[in-house]
Amino acid sequence: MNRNFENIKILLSIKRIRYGLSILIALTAVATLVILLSPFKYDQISYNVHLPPLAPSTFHWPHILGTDSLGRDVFTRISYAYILDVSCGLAVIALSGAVGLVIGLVSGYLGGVVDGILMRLMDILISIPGFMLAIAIASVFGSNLFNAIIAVAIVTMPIYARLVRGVVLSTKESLFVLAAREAGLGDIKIVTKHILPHVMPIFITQATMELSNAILYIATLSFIGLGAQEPTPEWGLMMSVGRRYIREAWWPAVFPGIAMFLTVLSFNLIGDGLRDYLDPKKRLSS
Amino acid sequence: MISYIFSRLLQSLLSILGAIVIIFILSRVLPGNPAIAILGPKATPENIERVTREWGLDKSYLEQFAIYFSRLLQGDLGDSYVMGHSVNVLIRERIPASFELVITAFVISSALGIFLGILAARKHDTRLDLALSTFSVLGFSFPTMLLGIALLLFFGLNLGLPVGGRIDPRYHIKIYTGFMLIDTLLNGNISAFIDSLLRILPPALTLAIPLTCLLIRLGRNSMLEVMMQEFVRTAKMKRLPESVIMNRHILRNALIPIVTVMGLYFAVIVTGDIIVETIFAWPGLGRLIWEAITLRDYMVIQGSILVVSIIYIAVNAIVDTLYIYIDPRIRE
Amino acid sequence: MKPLEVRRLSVEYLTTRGWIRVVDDIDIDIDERGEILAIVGESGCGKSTLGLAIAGLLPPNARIAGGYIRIFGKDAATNPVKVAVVFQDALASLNPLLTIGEQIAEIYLHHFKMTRKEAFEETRKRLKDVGLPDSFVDRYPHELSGGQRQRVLIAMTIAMEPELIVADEPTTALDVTIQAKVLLLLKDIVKKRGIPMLYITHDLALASHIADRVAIMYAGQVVESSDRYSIFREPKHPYTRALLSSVPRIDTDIDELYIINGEPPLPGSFPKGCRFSPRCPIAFERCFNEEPTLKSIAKSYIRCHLYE
Repeated sequence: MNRNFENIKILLSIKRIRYGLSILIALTAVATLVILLSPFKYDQISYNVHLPPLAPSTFHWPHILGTDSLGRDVFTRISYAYILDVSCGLAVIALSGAVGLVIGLVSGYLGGVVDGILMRLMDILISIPGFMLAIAIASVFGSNLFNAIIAVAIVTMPIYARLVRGVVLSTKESLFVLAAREAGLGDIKIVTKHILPHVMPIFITQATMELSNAILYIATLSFIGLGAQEPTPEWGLMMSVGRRYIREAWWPAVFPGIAMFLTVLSFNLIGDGLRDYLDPKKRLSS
Repeated sequence: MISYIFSRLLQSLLSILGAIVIIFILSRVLPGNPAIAILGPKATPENIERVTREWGLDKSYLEQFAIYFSRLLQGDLGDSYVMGHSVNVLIRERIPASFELVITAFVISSALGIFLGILAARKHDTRLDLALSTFSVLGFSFPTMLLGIALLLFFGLNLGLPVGGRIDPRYHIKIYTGFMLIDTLLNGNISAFIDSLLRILPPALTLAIPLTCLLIRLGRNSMLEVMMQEFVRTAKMKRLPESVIMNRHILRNALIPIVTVMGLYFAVIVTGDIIVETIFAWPGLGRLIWEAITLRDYMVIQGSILVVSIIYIAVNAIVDTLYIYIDPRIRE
Repeated sequence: MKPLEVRRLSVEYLTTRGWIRVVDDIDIDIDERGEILAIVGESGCGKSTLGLAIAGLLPPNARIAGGYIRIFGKDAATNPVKVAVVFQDALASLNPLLTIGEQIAEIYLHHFKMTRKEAFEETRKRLKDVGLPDSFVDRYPHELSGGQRQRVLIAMTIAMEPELIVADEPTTALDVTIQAKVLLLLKDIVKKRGIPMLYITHDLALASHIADRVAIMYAGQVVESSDRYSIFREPKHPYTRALLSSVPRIDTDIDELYIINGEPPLPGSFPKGCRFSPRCPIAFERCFNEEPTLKSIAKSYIRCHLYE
């Protein structure tokens, strides 16, 4: 327990993690507040189309970030989109991470034919560039957020499998694993008690960095029409619609982008900081 | 060396086969009748009959794959009923535009990225280095969609420059190479050249900036690592001129990790290209995919994805071979 | 003019605890061309740093904090003096992407401004000088054995036509049989061409085969310096004596190998008084309180209270 507190303290001392975490907390706080307090609903269409930021509304709050092409309040939609997009991102990494973890563990630990087959399958999956494969899968199964999540999860899963497998391979031959096997420990126990602790740090770091990737993927798929559909408040979709009327109003397209940027930035910073923390060379310049 | 090229070629062919298999599986896993999906709004009973016969949709999956594969070997990607042309023709007329955009972005980002990366390494731990590092982290996290829209606004609205498309449609340019920048010059039309230059700049920059940031980080770290190597000390001992030490000894070694990343590089370009072409109405392969998605044109989607995948696999193979050529230690 | 004159040389490294002195107030001399001076000491005594300082190859986090280095009368800090170094790790000291030939030829190309043809001609001659076949011109460093790579480094030093050679433990990483060959090659080259050499090693026995004069270093200081006969026949400093007794010998019967207790002190935490006193078997009160200075006795120097 104490060791974990120590680790957290060290992690928090890394500048990048501090910055990333603060941005994340600020965003979450703002989004939550807006969702709870906003007088507008995310799908509330009105005649007040393309009102600029800070334009007064029929309620007691002005439209802080303006309205979009259907008269909906941009700030409210962005806040809902924050919750939605981050949740989708988490769903993606939970799915791809879990599957990738299991495949990596099994493949690395068992080796032989199983390893060969699984890795061949992974190789086939990555023969197509990720985004293309996501498009292929999403376009076949229908354009909705759920399919988009599945598609992105399938595409990113091999990364975890490869990573985990690598760690398993290097720890498999280590002394304490051999000793555990001598002592007669069952395979599952060996994997969970001895190999998994070595896998987790690298896995978590990768997952954190993949989270921002996942959010970008989902938003991009929605942008080209394959993910979220109207009236879902989703950043990519909002930017796609906003782009069409960009000459009349820039804010419905730009503000969702900025929100997405800040979110992605914060996760990247945290992931970067974690990676530096785990780097045995412990780079001095952060 | 030769044996490596052979085995790498074989690997690439297997990857291409894998891509073909995946795309085929996906095309048949569609909910509903594939013929209807292919035909879209043109799904009349005669057409459905024709398509079913053409692709053997009433036969077993193995036979269907055989038909699909044999047509592929002849370079036939099928016909798009939705858009009214063969997929080959559609793709072929769009590729030069994407090519020009991608190459321009690649050149800009490589030159800028490597230059700034070396600068950051030379002046490491100074304020300039910190500024560059911050910029590169920010730039890499900046979503391409936002960057594209922002540059569209900036160049189009703020600066009032022409944006969208490759060139003002009022110009009549005879096509020689398919590269607008070159063809306008070959036509002797300077104002057309300037117009096409201004129009390619925003999308190329949108593609180039994330890549530049990637290269700055990579270049800086790689340079720093190499500068600490002992053979650099040997070069200093030999009293070689600074330029020789930098070029022959430091840069050549620092470039190796950058080359290995080139494959990833290309994947980033591919992802960004679709977005950029959509935002800037650039008539390339990326925009074709977007149009196909909007129109639910599965033939074009699949054909385009296959073409892009093959290019991707080829690029990776070339990069790996390049890597072996540069680093003699790997040649076993 | 003396090939090498070092007076009161101090070198410091910048660490997280500030500047730490690694080489402290050193005086050494090489009096004649073709003379080999061996610097002998344990790891961490500062001998490598001394060698690098003389060669002008200190890393950016090190500085010369005092004294001077004169090579053939020229001050090394301000004049372009040619000092060649034979490094310990030959594999790391060679560029993995260039052929052996290119790495030797570039000296002729860029330093002596020869044409490519001339440069490679000379390169082949240098390879012959160190006993390597012509064909090695097109080989890469990783294709050679350790001993062969070391010879390449030696070929490079000859090509430079240096005024002084510093050899920093060039044979430590090699097999014993190869060690002897490389050592003799070095000695042969130095003597034939009359180039003075500073030979750095931790192995006193090795030094005995090659050196004309020996300087023993301990904790950043020279504790004894003399010609090879005096060092081996009449060692004065207790540390020198201990070093000699701890080497197994075939020619005499020894009942017990003498092992020096403890470890040498790290830079930054040198003890008060004589730095060897904690480990010295015959230290007395004065040794723990007062630092002995370097005194000359005949043609030797000795830093020990026993001899004052």
